[in-house]
This record gives sequence, C-alpha cells and structure tokens, in this order.
Amino acid sequence: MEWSIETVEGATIGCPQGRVDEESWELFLARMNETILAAAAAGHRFVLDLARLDYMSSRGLRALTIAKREADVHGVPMALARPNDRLREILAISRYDKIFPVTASRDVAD
Amino acid sequence: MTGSKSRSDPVSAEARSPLGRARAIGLAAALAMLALIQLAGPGISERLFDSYQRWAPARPAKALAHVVLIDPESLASIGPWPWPRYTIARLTERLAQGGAAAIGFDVTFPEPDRYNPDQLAALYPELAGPARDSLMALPSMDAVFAEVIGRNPVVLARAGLVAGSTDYEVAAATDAALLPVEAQFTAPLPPGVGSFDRALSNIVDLDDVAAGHGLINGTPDGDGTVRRVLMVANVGGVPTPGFALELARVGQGIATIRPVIADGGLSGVGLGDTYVPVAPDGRMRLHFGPMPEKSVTPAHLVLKRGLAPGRFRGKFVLVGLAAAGTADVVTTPIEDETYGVYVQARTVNAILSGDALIRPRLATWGESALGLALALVSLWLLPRLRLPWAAILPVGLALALLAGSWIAFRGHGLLFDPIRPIAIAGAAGVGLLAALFVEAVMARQRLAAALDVERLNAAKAAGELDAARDIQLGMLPPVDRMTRLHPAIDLDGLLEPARTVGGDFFDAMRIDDRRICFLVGDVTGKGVPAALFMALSKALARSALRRGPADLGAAMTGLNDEISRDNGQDMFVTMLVGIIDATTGEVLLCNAGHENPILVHADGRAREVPLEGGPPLCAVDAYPYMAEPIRLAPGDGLVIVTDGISEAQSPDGDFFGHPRINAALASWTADRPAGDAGTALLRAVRRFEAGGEPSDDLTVLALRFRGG
Repeated sequence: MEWSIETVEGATIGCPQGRVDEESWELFLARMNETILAAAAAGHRFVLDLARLDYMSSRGLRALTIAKREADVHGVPMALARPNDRLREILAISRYDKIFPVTASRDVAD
Repeated sequence: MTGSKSRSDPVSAEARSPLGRARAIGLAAALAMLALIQLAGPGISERLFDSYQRWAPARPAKALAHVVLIDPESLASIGPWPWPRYTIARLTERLAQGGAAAIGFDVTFPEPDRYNPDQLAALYPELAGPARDSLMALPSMDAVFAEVIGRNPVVLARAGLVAGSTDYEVAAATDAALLPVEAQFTAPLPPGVGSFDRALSNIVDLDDVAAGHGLINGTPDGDGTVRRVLMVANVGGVPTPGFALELARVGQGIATIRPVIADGGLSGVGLGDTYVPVAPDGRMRLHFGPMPEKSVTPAHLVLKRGLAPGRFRGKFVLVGLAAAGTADVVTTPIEDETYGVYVQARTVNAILSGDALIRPRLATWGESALGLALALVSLWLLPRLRLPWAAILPVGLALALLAGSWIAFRGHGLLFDPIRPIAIAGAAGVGLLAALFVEAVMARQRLAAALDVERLNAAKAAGELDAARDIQLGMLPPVDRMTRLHPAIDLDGLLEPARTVGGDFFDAMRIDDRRICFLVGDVTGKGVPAALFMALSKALARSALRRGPADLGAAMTGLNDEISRDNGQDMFVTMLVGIIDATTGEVLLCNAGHENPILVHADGRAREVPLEGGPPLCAVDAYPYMAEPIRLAPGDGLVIVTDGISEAQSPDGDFFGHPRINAALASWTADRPAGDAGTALLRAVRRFEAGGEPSDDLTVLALRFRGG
C-alpha cells in the first residue's frame, strides 16, 4: 500500500493506493493517524480518498474504526470519498456507510 | 507519500556497515604492517638489493684496479709477515717500474721496522766494536722504504678511531689534527659526515713522504655485511679521503676533492671529471662485482724476475694481505667471504667509472607513502571489483612495482624497495578480505540464527493456531443437536477454518417450543486473540439471546455494549442474528455489519434479503440496532455466509461474489437436506479458488422451513 497526502482548503486528504489487507492494515492505520494529527494541527477535516484503493479487508474496516476514534478525540471530522464499486459494496455490507459520510467525489466530501 | 524523509550521514552509515568495518580493519592492518616494517629496520630491503647485485653484478667501465696479494704462497716464498721494509720497498719499486699509476698499501706501518740496524744491534748486546759500528752505520729499512715511497705515487693507509676502539689509546700520542692530508678539499664536509677523534697512522718517516693518505675503515652493516665504503670523513676535524678515493686521486694526478652538498647534507664527491654519489654520512654504496683473476697478482711473483713487463701500466695497485691470521676478511652482498683489499679495489674501479648505487635520502618515506596510497586505493577499489580482476589487478601492480625496481637498479643504479609498498598495500587487502570473510561468516551465522528463530516462531505460531482452531471448532454446536432443535426446521452449519484461522463462528439454540435462535459471526483478526474474542462474543450473544428477547434490536444494542466493554484490542465482530417461529415461518433478523442472508426458494431460486442493519458490534458505541422481519414459506430456505465465501478469490483476483453464491445454491432445492447448501457452496468456492490458499474461514449456516 502506498500513501500520499494532499491539502486543499479546509481539508487534509489521505490517499491510500493498492490494497489494505492482513499485510498492510497496520501501515494504513499508522498513516491515517499521522494524517489525522496533521489535520488537527491545521484545523482541517480529514478526508480519506479511496479512489485508488483496490480492496479493503475486514482488517481495513477495523483500522477505519480506530482512526474514527482518533479523529473524534481530536475533534477532526472524518469522511470517505470516491470508493470503487467493490469498496462501496464492502462499506455497505459492513454498514460503515452508516458510520462515515461516503461521497462519490472529493469535492462533496470537502 | 509526503513528509520529510530522514537522511542518515553516509560516512557514519558506512562506518557502521560491514564494508565500512572491513575497510577500517584493512587500514589498521596496513598501518600495523608499516609499523612492523619500521621496527624490523632496513634488513629486508637490503637483502633484496643484495639479491639484485648477485643477479646483476657490477661490470665497471674502467677496471683499472689491480691487487697485489700478500698470500700464503708469498709468505712461504719471502718469509713471515711483517716483511722487512726493505722487501716492501723492493716490491714498491718493482710496481712503480711496472708503470703503476698509484700504489696503495691496504696495511698500516705504525711501528719502526724490527729489522732496522738499531733494532738488530739491540738484539745482539754481545756485538761490539767495529762490527757494531758497521751495523749501526747501515741505513734503516724504514729510511730505504721512505726513500722509495717519496719517489713514487704511494698512498698509505690510515685507520680512523673512535673512543673505545682497538688502538684508540695507542693513537693518543698522535695529534690527529696534525696528520698530513695531501688531498685538497674545496669545501668543509657538512654535518652528518662520519667523524673520528683519532687515527692509527704510520711512522712519521713514511707518512711524511707519501703522496697520499686514505682511511681504510670499512664498518659492516648490522648483519655483518659490508655494503658501503667510506669516501670521506673528518679525522680530528680535518677532512680526510677514503683509501680508494685517495688512490684514485693520486693515480690521476688530481689535487682536489669536491664535496657536493644538497639540502645541507653531503650528496656526492667530485674527483676531476667524475662524480660519485655518496650518503650523507660520507659512505658510498658499492655495486659489487667479481674480482677478475687477471687483476690479482701474488706479491712474491712481483718480486721475482720474469713477470710480464707493463703488467701494472696505468693500474691503480693495491697491496693487501690474504694470508691466514693477517687478512682482513669481510662479507659482501655477493660473497660470504672476501678480502678487504678486494672491496677497496672494486671501490677504486667504481670511483673511476662514476658507478655507485644510489639510495635516495627520502626513499624509505616515499616507499611508505606509496604503500599507504596503494592501501587506500585497494580499500576503495577491491570491493568494487569482481574476479578475476580482483586478483589480477593487485598481482599485476605488485609485479609492476618489482619490475620498476629492477629497471631502476639496472638502468640507473637506483635502489627502490618494492617490498615495502607491496607489503603495506597487501596487508590492507588481506585485512579487508579477511574482515569481509569473517563478516560473511557472521552474517551466515546470524541468518542461520534468524532462521532458527523464525522456525521456532513458526512452530510456536502453529501451536497457537492449533489452539485457536481447537477453540473455534470446540465452540461449534454439534450438527445432530442443530438438526434436532425443532422438527419443522432443518438446520445445519459448516465451518472450514483457513490455515491461519479467522474468527468465524455460528450458533443455534432453542428459545422455547416455537422459536429457534440462530446466528453467524465473524471476528476481525486471526489467531488466538481472535478465537478468544470470538468465544467471548459467542458466549455473550448466547447469554443475551437464549431467553428470547422481547426486542431483538435492543438486545443487539445491549450485546454491542457488553462486547465493547471487554474489547481491549480494538477488535470488532460482525453478526447476523435471526429468530424463527417454527410454526409460522416468521423470522426476525438483526444484522450488525454482516453479509445479508440469502433466501432460497423450494425450487432453488436464490436472492439476497436486503436488510437495513447496522455497523459491526464494537464499531460504534450505543448504536441503535433494529430487528427486521421476513416470512418464509414452507420449503423456503435461508442461508447465511461469511466473507470467506463472498470474498474468496480466484487466481486472477476475482471475487466469488453473490451471483456465484446464488448459482451454487440453485441445486439446494426443498428435497435436499440443510447440509447440502454448505457442501454445494464449499465445492463451488474451492473450484473457483483453483487450488489457491484460502485467506479466510469459510462458514455457511443453512436453515430450511419445512412448514408448521
């Protein structure tokens, strides 16, 4: 999994790339937590741009839960953007779309 | 990825690396070798130069030195040494008549001749009167010899003495500063040139008439080998030539000797048109060569008539001793034993030819610096080279140094020691390679140790996984109990743990005469922690549901709170719970983040049952879950799976997905037992995976409503 950060007005955007599974979920969580801290320092929202993420296992969902708690602790609103069809299905099955705002474009999430 | 990357210091990073350590060891080896060579002294270099002289002995351009040897045959013929000075005078005269350019005596005459008339008269006290007067009226042998010396170009020897040497006290009677020196030095000798306080000289009668005087000191090196011959030295503060130099001067009729000074020290001596390089101490490195037989004549033959006339014409004749007990025997680079007079004769030839070996003053430092430079280059270059260059280059360089040294010796008489730089650079290379070898061995050992640890951990993990699997499978309800929960319900479950063991589980229990509760869960994570969390989740779920909650949604919300309370590792669990009324076919379902159930009609048609549901348990605190009702017709079935089925992957990376689930369940018609649903799905999934390793547990719970 690769990770990059972009910043737009009012939002810090984390962009994972590849797969989040048994091998990579810890890195995924660590990068999210770092980015949440950066967003908190900048007074931004945190948007997780899923456009280039191919797959997320239940480990990734668990990481999202933990990251959400971290974001809540720092008062950082957290949103998910641009999941592919597979991820959208996973989010729907797990009902994570009931926990996170999930949008089809980053602009809306911003 | 953004963010600053830490950048380590490359130098310290290299120092910490195995190669950096090996290079440091190589450098230390080079320095140790340098120190060792310094401690060992010049012996190794000198032995190499000795070898050069044995392989290529000197062939002087002007071999004009001739030795008249007072050998055992001469002693047998003439009488024991010392001979009467009269005899020596006759010998001198014969040599002069033979045309000798100069005649040098490589012996000293420090005492009056014992055959002088006064000495003989003293031997015979009974001799008196006219006989004694006649004897005493005869001229002394010394006077005769002095007269011959005075008429001919004769050079006498003189031995410089330092405190503690033999004859030092004997020489005290003579003021060294007043000893006659015929050679005129054009400049004082600079500091560093050898110096003697006193000298053992000849009796004044002889000294006063000689054409020249030269020092015959020939101190060997520490190993007893004579390699250098004294050219000039101060005696009592007076510049004095060496014996061979003085003989060459007198023989050529040259008056002056020119000391040549460079960098404050003596670098050479000029004699007429020739220049002889010397060391700062005033000694010349002689290039030794053989003494031709035709250049040696026994003394007794000179005294006999019949020797070829002109044998000594133009020759620089040296008279020396070669009889046992009298000879000055020395070791040279090319001979274990030879006569001192031969060394002086060779020196005369070398002086006349301007032929001497040169060892530059800073040669040792230069060789050491070259060695260190090559060591540094080796340390930098060797790790970058592959075989055969890693062997060819150092060996080639060493051969080139040896060849260069040999060429310098043959072409210019220059003495350059290649062993020193080769040894220093070689030590660096050997140190480097040895350290790299040790490092490689240690790395192999570390890898082997790591492999052992990995195997141990794998074995341990396998043990843990076995334990987790035991926990997981041990918690599943027995199949026969499930099928007998209610006659109107056919219920069966299947769980295929993955190799790494996921956290799937299922359960079913009878609440009362009419109702049966069933559930399927999936805990995130693997191994023992997941298995234990699964056990906890299942136990709490059974506790919350076994009495038939009035509100299934509220029960799930309560269950969420209960499980979250004991969730130290931030796990979560998806769970689909159903309660079926076996008399009506009504089912209440509550979905916490799990796959939706699949409704399979009696004819095998299957479709997903969409449920609103909520997030997995433990994901969100106090989430308000809801129960959602459906109704089964007699013959209808309900199948609940985990993501081990829906997310099973083919070798191409495709997911099994719901369309394939529905297709696999088409064969599960009303006449088939509940267990067939799991079997059909398992077979379809394994076929889809095409031998690939399952990444997650595979769980199917199937329920058929037979009708009330």
